[in-house]
Amino acid sequence: MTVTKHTPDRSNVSSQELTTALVQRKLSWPELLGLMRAPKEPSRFDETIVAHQQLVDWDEQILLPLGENLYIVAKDGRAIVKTRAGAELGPWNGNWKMQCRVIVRRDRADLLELYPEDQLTIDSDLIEIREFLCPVSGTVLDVDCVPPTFPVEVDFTPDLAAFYRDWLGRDLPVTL
Amino acid sequence: MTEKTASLLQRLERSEALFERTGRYQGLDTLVQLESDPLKFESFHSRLLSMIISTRETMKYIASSPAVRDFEEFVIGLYTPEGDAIALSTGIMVHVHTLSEFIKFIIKNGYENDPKIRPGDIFENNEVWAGGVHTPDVMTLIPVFDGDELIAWVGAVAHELEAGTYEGPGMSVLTPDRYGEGLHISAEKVGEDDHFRADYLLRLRMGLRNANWWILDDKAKLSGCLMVREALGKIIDEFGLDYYKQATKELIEEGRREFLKRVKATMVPGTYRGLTMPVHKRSHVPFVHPLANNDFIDLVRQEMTVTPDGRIELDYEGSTGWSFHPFNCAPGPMNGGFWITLTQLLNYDGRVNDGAYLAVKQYLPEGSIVNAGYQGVATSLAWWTLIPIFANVWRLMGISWYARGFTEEILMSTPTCMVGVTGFDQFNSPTGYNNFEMAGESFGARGVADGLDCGSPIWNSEGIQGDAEVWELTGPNAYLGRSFVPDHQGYGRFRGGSAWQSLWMVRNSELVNVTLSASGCMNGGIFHKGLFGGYPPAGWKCLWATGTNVKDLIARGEKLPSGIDEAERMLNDGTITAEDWYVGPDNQWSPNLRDGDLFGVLYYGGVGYGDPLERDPAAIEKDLANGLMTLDGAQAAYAYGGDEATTDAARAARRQARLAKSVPAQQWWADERARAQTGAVSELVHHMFARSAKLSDALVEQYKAYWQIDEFPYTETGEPDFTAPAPVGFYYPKSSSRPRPGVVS
Repeated sequence: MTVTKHTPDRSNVSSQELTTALVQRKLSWPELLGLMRAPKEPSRFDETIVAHQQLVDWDEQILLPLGENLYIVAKDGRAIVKTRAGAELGPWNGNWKMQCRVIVRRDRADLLELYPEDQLTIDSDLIEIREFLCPVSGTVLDVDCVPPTFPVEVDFTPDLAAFYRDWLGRDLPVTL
Repeated sequence: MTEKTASLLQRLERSEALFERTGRYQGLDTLVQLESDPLKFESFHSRLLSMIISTRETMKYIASSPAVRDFEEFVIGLYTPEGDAIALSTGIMVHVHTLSEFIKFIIKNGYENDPKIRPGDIFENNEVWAGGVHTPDVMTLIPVFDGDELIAWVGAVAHELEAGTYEGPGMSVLTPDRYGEGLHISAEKVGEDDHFRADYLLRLRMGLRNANWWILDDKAKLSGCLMVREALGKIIDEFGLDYYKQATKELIEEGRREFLKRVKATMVPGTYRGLTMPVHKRSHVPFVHPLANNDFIDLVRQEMTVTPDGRIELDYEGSTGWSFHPFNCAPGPMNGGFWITLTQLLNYDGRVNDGAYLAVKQYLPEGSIVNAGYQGVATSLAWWTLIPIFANVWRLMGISWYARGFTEEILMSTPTCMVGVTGFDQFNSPTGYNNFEMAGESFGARGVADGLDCGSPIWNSEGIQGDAEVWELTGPNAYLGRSFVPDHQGYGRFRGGSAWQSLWMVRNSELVNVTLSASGCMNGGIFHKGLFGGYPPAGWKCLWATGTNVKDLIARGEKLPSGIDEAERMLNDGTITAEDWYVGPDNQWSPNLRDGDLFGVLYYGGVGYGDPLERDPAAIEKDLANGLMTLDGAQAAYAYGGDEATTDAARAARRQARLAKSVPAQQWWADERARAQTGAVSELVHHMFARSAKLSDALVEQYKAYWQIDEFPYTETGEPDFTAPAPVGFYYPKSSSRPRPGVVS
C-alpha cells in the first residue's frame, strides 16, 4: 500500500487536480480506491498529459506517456521518444532501447549486485537481465529478462494515428 | 424452422453464421428489451446474477473437499442453449468459457442423437479435447427444459485435489502424456433423473485415492445446478419465456458492445510484445518416464494487438512446440486463460458474459505449446504455461492503462508454486493432493501501490491461503512455519508482493513423497519482467530432507527450523542430520519421506514497478519495520541510507555508478553480435531457439534482422524428430496462426 504521510483534503478539488495528484503519486489509499470504483472519465487522458507536462523541464508537447519517465512527444512536426530528463531516443515507432545506455547482467557475480546471495537462484546461463538507462539521468527505464542473444525489442508500439483520430477524435499534431 | 423445432446443432450453426456475417451476437442490431424498458432489463439481469451468486454460497456448505469448502475453487454459470455464458458466479472463472466449449462439444458431436439430451440428464467433463483444462477441473452440466424445448444449460466446475494421477496429486508434474494424468471423464453422460449413475460413482471409487472429495463435490455441483434450474423456473414464470430468450441474447450482445467501449475508453491501440520462457528440467529426477526425461525451455512469444475498433487479439507465432510433458496447452485452456484476464481486468463490472469473448481473438499456431496437436498430449499442468503467459498479458495491459492515464488499474500477478503430496495419510489411507495454500500467493506491483503480500492467484480472484490446520487435517503433515521471506520481492518504485514460505514435517505417516514445483520461475527461470524499470524477484527454491533426526530434536526440546533457509543452515551445520536432502531451484519429486522428515516450498514474490531508486523511503522503512526487508537488502535494492539526505546522496551516486558501468546500447550490440552470430549460448537456450525455428520463421527473421546476419545459428532442437497423430473421429476446439501476407496456409 502507498505510504502517505499527510493527506490533504481533496474532497472539493477539480478533476485535473485529482489526476495531477495521481500522476505525482500523492493520493491516499482511500482516494485511489475511489478512483478504482468510479467510472473511467474521458477527461483523464488530457488531464494526465497536463500533469506530466508540468513534471518535465522541456517544452515539447507530450503525445503519449510510454512508461515511467518516458514519453512520445512532438518535435519539429515529428513524433519522437523522449525521457523525463530530456534524452531523445529516436522515432516514436523505433527501438528506443537501442538509444539508451545498457547494463547487461550475464553471470552470477553481476546478479549478486542486485540480489542477496542466499535468495539468488536465477540461472545466468539461461537468462540475462538487461537494464536500459536514460543516458542523461541514469534512471532505469526498463529491465528485460531474456535468453542470451534474444533481440532487443520494445514492449509497445502504439497506433498513434488510430488513437488520436479515431479514439480521441482529434488531429495528431505531427506527421507520422 | 423455429427455435422450438430446430435441433441444438442447427441453432448453434445459425448463431455462428449470424455472428460471422454481422459481427453481432445472434445478428442482433437493436436491443429491443434493453431499449424499451431498461429498468426491467436491469432487474432481470440482477435476478439472474443473484440466483447464481447465492447458489454458489450455498454450494460451499454442501461440498466436502477443502478445495471447495475452504479455498473457493469452484464456479457456477448459466448458458444459452447454444452454450454461450449468460451469467456466472465468482470463483475459478477460467471455467466460464471452458464450460461453453464443453456444451458446444456436446452439440457438435451429435449428443442429441446419442447418448441423447433429456430432462434430468447430468453430463461431466475434464477432457481437454472437450474444452477442459486438466483432469482435476471437473465440470458438471445439466440441461434445462421447458416442456420438450431445451432452454438453457447450467454448469459448475470444481477443482479436485486428487484426480487419480500416476504421481498422486491432482496435477501431475512429470507425466509424459495423458495416460499418466489420471481419470479422464471425456464429455460423458454420468447421471439421469437428477441422480448420478451408480456405475459412475463406482468408477470414481475405483479410480481415485480420495474418491469422497470428488463425489461430494460432484453432489455439491449437482445441487447447485438443480437449485439454479429451480430458481430459473421462477424467474421465467415472472418475466415470461419469450422475454427470457430475447433478453439473454441481448445481455450477451450488450456485453460484447460494452467490452469494445471499455477497451476504447481505457486502453491505447497498438502492438504490445511479451516473452515468457518457463524452464523445465527433469533429467535430475530419478523416477521420470523415459519419454519425459529431458530438460528444455518453452519459449512463448506474445504479441497483443489492440485494434482500432477496440478488439484485443493475441498472437503466439514463434513459440516452441508441444512435447512429452504436462505443461502443454490447447485452445480450451488458452481461451480459459484469456477469460480470467478479461474478467478480472476489463470486464469486472457490468455484463460479465460471453459477449466479451466475441470481442477477442487468439491465434494459436498449430503444434505449438499453446496449441498441442497430439491426441495423447498431457495438459495436467497446462497452468505452468498459462500462468506466466497471462500474467504477462496483465503486464502488457498495464502499459496501456499507463499510456491512457489509468494507473490505478495497473496490476501484475505472480507465479503459482505448488506442493503435491502422495502416499499414505495419517489414517493409513492412500492419499494424493495438492496443497492449495498457494491460492494466497502474493501479487506483482501495481501502478499506484506495492503488490499484496498475501493476495490471490491469477486463476482465482477469491483464492485464499486457508487455515494451516485444515491442511494438517488433509494430509500427514504438520506446519513448522509459514512466513514471509525478507528481500524476496521484485524491487521497484512499487515493489512486488513479498514471497512467503512454508516448511512442513511429515507426521503420522511412514510412506509419503512430495512433488515441488513452480510456474515459470523454477529451475533457475524468471517468471516475467517487471514494468517500467521494476525488477523480477531473486528466484525460487524448495526443500526436502529424508531420514532426519527431527523427532530427536523434538524429544530433546530443541529448536526446530521454521523456514527453508533456517532448515538449510541446520542441515549444513549438522544440527539436523538426514540420509539425503535437497534445497535449491530445481523442481523435485522427493524420495519417500517418513514421520519427522521435512519438505518446504517458497511462494515466489511479485515483480516490481518503476525504478527502485524512486521508492518512497517511508515505504522502505515500513518494510524494514515489518521484517519484509533487511537493512542490507534495502541498501542494495534502494540505496537506502537511513535518513533523507544520506538516501538522496546514495541514490545520486548510484545513478552515476549505473552510467559508469553501462555502455551505449549500440556499442553492446556491436560487441554482442559475434556471439549472436555463432550462437555461443548454453545448450538449453540453443535448443529453445531451434525449437522455435522448427515451427515458425517469425523469430528466425526477427533475429537475423536485429543482428544483421544471414544465418540463424541455432539448429539442434535436442528432441527427437517425430510427428504424432492429431485426434480423429470427433469435433474439438481448434485454432491456428494469424494469416500472414504472402504466406500460403
